Amino acid sequence: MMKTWIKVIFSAILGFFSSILILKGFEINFDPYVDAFLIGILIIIVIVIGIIFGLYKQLINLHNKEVYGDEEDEVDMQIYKKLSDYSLLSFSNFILSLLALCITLITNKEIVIVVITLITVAISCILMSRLMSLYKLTQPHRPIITSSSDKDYGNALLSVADEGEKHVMLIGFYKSYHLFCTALLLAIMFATFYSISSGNSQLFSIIAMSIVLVLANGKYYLSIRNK
Amino acid sequence: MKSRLKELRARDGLNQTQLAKLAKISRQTVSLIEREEFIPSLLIAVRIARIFNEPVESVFSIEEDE
Repeated sequence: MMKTWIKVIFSAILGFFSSILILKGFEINFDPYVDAFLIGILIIIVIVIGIIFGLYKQLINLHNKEVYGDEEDEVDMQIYKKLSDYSLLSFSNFILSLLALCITLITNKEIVIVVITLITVAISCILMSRLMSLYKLTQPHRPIITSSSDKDYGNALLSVADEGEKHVMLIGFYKSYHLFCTALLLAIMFATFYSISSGNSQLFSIIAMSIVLVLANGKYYLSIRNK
Repeated sequence: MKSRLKELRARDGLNQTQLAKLAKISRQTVSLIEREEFIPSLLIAVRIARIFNEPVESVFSIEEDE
């Protein structure tokens, strides 16, 4: 049910912006909307930071709860779901903060705004780094993952995961890989169409997206080919 | 593949978390096996069977059409 609603909302937003772009013949000047967009992003960032702190508190409370029998399984399931939510929200917040910082730098905003966005990036980084300590605290019997700054983090993550977790991760990665490739292809097509219609060249971003697509696919196919 | 995990857990008074700790796997994996969404490796199947003092073929069984 939730999934369907997310799809409906996402499609509606995409449809709304696409129709506006088509109606205006791709001749939209984004500059007047930058301030409103930036404020919107900063409000979302603050709300998400609040939700993340809430999740952090809930995780600590769940960890400190003394439970036995089937209730222990129920609490473990809740901890697992909340850790996943924490991970998703902290990463999304980091991307939003980075987007806000990029906008302020590109549009030459006042130094105060740049500092605010830099602070949001720093907070997002701190919240992401807390994930590993939360994992260690709530799942003490599970193997410890090495630091995320580790050069071989991907392999370390796979080596501590058991068969069932790898099975779940594989399905998730496969789905996200396909979504990533499709979304980038659509973005390339959209940028090309936008460049032709508006005369505003997006060649650099088209080349960058193509390189990312080739690298991601190359890495995947070389990994399975050499096994 | 069918498993008697739930039944055997109830018999021995173990919850999923306790079984996972004994079998050195995650609770998610125990849950996936019970829901028949994942077929465990021989290593894990043997480990689980030993916890319940049962032969592997008594804990896990393959259906005819598989």
